This record gives sequence, structure tokens and C-alpha cells, in this order.
Amino acid sequence: MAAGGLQDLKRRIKSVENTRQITRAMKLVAGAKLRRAQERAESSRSYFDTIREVMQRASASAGSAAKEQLFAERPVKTTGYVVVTSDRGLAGPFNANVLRYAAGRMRSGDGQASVFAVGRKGRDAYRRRRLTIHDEFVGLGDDVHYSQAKAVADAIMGRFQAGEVDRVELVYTHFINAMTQRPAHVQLLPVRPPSADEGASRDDASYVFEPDPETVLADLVPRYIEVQVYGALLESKASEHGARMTAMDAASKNSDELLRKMTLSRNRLRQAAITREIAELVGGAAALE
Amino acid sequence: MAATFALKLVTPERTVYAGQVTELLLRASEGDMGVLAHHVPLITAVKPSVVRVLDEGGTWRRYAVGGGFLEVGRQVTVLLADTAESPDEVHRDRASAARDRALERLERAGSDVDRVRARQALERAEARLAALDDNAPA
Repeated sequence: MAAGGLQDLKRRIKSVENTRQITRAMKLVAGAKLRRAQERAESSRSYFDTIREVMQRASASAGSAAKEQLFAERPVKTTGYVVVTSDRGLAGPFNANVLRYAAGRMRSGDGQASVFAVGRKGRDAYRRRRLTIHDEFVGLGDDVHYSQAKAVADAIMGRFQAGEVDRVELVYTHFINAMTQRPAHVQLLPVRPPSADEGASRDDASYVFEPDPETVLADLVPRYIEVQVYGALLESKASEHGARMTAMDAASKNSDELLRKMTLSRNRLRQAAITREIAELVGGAAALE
Repeated sequence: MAATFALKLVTPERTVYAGQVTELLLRASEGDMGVLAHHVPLITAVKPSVVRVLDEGGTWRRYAVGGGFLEVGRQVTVLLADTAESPDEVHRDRASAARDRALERLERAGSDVDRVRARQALERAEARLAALDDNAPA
């Protein structure tokens, strides 16, 4: 009967409306979190740029002895991949993209691949694929703290110095804007000193190192790695919120479209029912005459 | 008026201070040092300590710094700090609890790594407490 179809349609409309309310709210929340993540990324940039410059100067002046520990390239039997994903889903293609990119890096990389999993989604994916997971870092929350980056960096350096991994690559999502995020990678270990491109404006040779470049460098390198990890966490976090915002916006728009169509057919059905009732009444009245 | 130079005090999380200053006092890896305008370009490690800054207006500011690096450049001097807090940001109870914890860990420390870490934690806690208590510039 037509009334049953009308009832079903009304229920579906209600259900889509509820979903739309949720996706809209998620979009707004993601937008607010994105702004905060961007601010944090902005405020860490100054530190990052400076430590890069100092690294570059110190490594240019330091002798080879200091470079051995963390700089030396060695035959690569295992490569560790630090893959930064999110803890939560519903962020569009965010996690799938970075995982696919990481898989590509692993195929073209040297030696056995193993993983440092940052974020629940990545950890679960690598568990399913039965890859070696050295360490996992889940539940980082929405505000990334430097201490969290430090924990990741400590784990990486420990494994590297113990000889468990011969090279470490960081795979994260580079934030371009709220609509666009791109997976990217950077080699963490052995440390590649930043190239001299932008530091050249200042006069390198005249720096005095206290007590000497080697000691300064030895102190500097762990922090440099920490900062790189921290930057990647912030970028990924901003990207996650951006991706979620875009996904939820698309979902809300789809709901709008669906609702428009369903409301239209609901009204048609209702109108058809009314017309039929009138026709029946008129027919009945005519039969009485 | 004394010559000034540009100083930036940054941590990974934020820029704590940026402006023209007359004098900067801190504890470097080789001992206490001061920086005035036209200092020779220098890079050195900084120990956890109270860093004092005499700003353009003639006010001394104190920051509890938890270690880091100092780069004295020709144009700008940058202090890269792991952490930096002004005295009103320091929690006294938390700092003294941290000091007690560090002292205890120092007693029981087995390996060299533990000892180094405990000592650093102790220095950081003491820098925070010193920033709270000490009003006179060094």
C-alpha cells in the first residue's frame, strides 16, 4: 500500500537528517582543531628553522669523529619506517593515502622493512600485514606535545644504535591546505646534515664553538631528530583534521542532496494519495446521484 | 644608553621572548657567560639554569631554561631552549616534587644513563626553583 511507502520514506528522511547533524558537527569540530594545529605548527617553525641552520653550520665545522655515531652510512639490512597515522577514522582517504605511500617506499627501499607505528590506524594495518613493529605510539590526542615526539625519537635512536635498524625513514602527511594533503618522507637516520642552500647568507666560517664543534654536534643531533619528528606529528595532525573536515563537508552535502530528492518523492507520494482519495470521494458521490 | 642586540628565546612549542636586549646572562656548557651587543659569533650548549635578560626598557627578566643551545649571530642571537618558563609560569610544588624525585633517582641510579638523566632532571628542577626565588640579577 502507498501509505507504507510513505512511512518508510519518512523514516529514511529522519535518519539521513540525523546523520547530517553528526557530520556537520564533526566538520565544525575538525575545523576548530585544524586551526589550533596550524597555530602550533606555526609557533614551532622558528625553532625548527634555527636548529636546521645551527646543524648545518656545526656539521660543516665538525671533524669526522663526531659524525660516526649517528651519521655513518652502513650496509642496510633493515630499514625502519616511522609511519604517522591517526588514531581515529572518518578522515576521508587520510590514512589510506599515507599507508599506500609508505608501502611504496618499502617496496623500493633497501633491506627488510620494519615499522615504528605512530597512530592506532597504522598500527592495526601493520598488525594485519604481520610486519615487524618495533614500537607503537597510540593515543597521542589532538594536541601533540613535544615530549611525545621525544619519546618517538628516543625509541628510534635506541634501535639504531643497537643495530636493529640500519636506516630510518619518516613517512608522514605534509599539510598544504585544508583541501590538500600530500604524503611525504624524510630520512632521519643516518643523519643527513641539512644542505647549505639557505644558511649561506650568514658568514659560516667565523663561528666560535664552545667547547668544540664535535661536542655541540653530539648534543644537537638528538634534538634535531626530535624536532623533525615533532614537525611531522604536527603536520600530520593538521592534515588529519583537514582531511576530516573535507570528508565531513562532502558527507553533509551528500545528505543535503539525498534529502532534497527524498523530500520531493515524499511530497509526490503524499500528493498522489490525496488526489486518489479525492477521486474516490468524487467517484463515490457520482455513483450516489 | 647601552647598545642593544636582537634576541629570540624559542622552544619547540612557542617563541617565549623576542626583542631588543642589552644583556643576556646564562650558564653555558663551559661555565657562566654573558652576552652584550657585538659579541663574537658563537655556538654553544646551554645547561639547565636561570637565564637573565636585560631588556631595552632596563627591566631584568628571568626564565627557567631546561637546557638547549645558544647561537650568537651577527644579526640576531637565538637561544634554542628545550623548555623555557617565566617565574609566574613555574609551579613551585611541581618543581620541588620533581627535585625530590630526581634526588631519589640519583641515589638509586644503576647505570650511567640513569645517573645522567637523573642529574639533568635535578638541574631542571633546580633552575625552576631558582627562577622563583631569586630576584636580584646575577
